[in-house]
Amino acid sequence: MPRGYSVTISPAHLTAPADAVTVSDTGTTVLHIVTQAVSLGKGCSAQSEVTWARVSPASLTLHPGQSRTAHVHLTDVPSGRHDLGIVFETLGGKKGNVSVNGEVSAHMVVGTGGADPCSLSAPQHHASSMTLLLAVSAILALVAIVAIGALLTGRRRGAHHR
Amino acid sequence: MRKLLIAAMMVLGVLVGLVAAVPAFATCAPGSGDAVNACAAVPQSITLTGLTADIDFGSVSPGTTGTVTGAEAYTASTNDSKGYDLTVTGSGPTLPCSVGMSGGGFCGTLGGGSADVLPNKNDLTITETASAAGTLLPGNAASSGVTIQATTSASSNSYSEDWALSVPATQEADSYTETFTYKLQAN
Repeated sequence: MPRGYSVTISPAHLTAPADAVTVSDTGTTVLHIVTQAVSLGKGCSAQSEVTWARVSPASLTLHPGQSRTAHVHLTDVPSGRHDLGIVFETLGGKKGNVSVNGEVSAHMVVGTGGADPCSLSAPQHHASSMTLLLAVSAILALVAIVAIGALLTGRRRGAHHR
Repeated sequence: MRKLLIAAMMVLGVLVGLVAAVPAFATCAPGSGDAVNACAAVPQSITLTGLTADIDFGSVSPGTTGTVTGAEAYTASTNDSKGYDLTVTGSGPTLPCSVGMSGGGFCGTLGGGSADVLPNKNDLTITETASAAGTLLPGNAASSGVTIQATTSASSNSYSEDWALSVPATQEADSYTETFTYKLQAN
């Protein structure tokens, strides 16, 4: 039995125009959660809130076992690809010297085109899958062409011998 | 010419077969005739379990170190193939008592200025004793926090932490508080 709070969000990844993220209280305490959309500044700068994306509801309360779906709203998205963190922050208590907040964030990809210079590794995964598929296709096509060429050459030689 | 046409068609057939085969791995096809296809969708998710909302050092005498063994014990998990980043960060220079103090600190409630703060940089140590074992110094981290662990595949890890707060011999008598945030981000 967890002694603190427990939060699950699903999906962990989404790509616009998908906009729904479900948050669940998987523990035994009531959760007070605030939401926000931040730019994933990994590799460039600290995470920062973006003005063109917002999450609704902005705050919610969940009882143990409850779930709720939040939606991401995009307005006037800057051109290019952007990696956002859709953040669900559970606020800490006030009983001790230290109050501990817990954030769980989904990774949302918005837009297309050149990779966000601060983006995470997601685009490389998609790129590598496509590259692999093309490479396999090219190899199979090459093998087929060589085999057919060998077959035709063999037949010509057979005809010359005859 | 006819042989060339046949050869081209064979190459095209190989490529079409390859492309057609890809969706078969990705989707559940409907059953046909007497065949029944069993299909299960596993949703992708990320979970933080068991994080304690408060840590209490109690009364710590000047010139000594207060410790809370097992201050935090929690689990981070995801079935996402890209893994997660887990960080912890202090308040940073946002509290009145720690303006300009990178890494934040424990603020006294009496508001005695710079003398009424326990800087995380000087005084706080977090020791991971389970996954990612080692010592963390959140006060030395940038505002984005200190990384506890970064994974690159589906993973579930349990963390246990001992916290230690060193109080200088001349520290003002007061009640000190600070806020930390654990961030679990899907990669």
